[in-house]
Amino acid sequence: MSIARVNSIVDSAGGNTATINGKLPIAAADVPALSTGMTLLGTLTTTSGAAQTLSGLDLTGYKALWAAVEGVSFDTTGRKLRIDGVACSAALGAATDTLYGLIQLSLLSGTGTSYVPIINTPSTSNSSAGAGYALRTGITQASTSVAFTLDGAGNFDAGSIVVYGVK
Amino acid sequence: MAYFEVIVDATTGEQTVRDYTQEETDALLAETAATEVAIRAGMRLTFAQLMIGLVTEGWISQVEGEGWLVGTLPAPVSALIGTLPAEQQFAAKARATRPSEVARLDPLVVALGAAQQKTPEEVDAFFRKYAEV
Repeated sequence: MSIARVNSIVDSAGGNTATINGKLPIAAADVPALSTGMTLLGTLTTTSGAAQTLSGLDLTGYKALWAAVEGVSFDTTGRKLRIDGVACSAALGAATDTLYGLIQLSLLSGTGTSYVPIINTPSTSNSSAGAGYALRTGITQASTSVAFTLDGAGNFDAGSIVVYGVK
Repeated sequence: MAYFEVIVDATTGEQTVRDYTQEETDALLAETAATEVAIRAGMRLTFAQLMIGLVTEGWISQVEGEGWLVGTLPAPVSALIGTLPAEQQFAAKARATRPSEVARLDPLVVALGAAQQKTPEEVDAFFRKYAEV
């Protein structure tokens, strides 16, 4: 059986403060909110259109933006995915190719990296050629939208892009 | 083809569709044309990659491929070279028989693709795919 030791100490204001096992009890309401973590900003279903845009964003409280590319493909081969007009993926080599990967941007500078290769089923047709990029975009804490396009004529025809803000 | 932008409001989830303006469409098509020329200009295959691709895709038979490896051009290639001006035929045959590198925009590649009724996009896809093998 453990015994809790309850003492009191004198705080800097000269008042007594109860302690339990030598530690100050703190009410949950007094704990400051943690300013870290990821927040889902929105999901774009990339099954149509030449451009997919997440609008109405308030990025002022975020330091970084992550976008998970989940099985995105286009109706035109040879195309790459772009974020804010900047290429960020491998080029589709076949109509059945799909893109998976992650884009990460600093919202302080708009710069970042991406690695979005072709990942297919069956896996024999995977390709990492041209999948990694250094990115310089215009997306910052002041931005209110994030746009994804192709690097030429064509349309999205499958997949989704999940956009997170990172504090 | 008409192009449009799908806009999703992050707060409400509401989705709206905005058609591209004619200026946006024109700019997209112009950029595409320029990009495709630049990409094609950079496409290269080794002779081995070309052979693997042609046989794998069934664009030539394995017997034709094996013959090409030892210097016997497939009949369609020889026939095409035969249509060139006489002074160009030897050089074309030498390049086709023992290429160290095959350029996507080599006139012989362009002509062979057309003769085999392959679209430029199909030939592009071929080069992309077999540059990896």
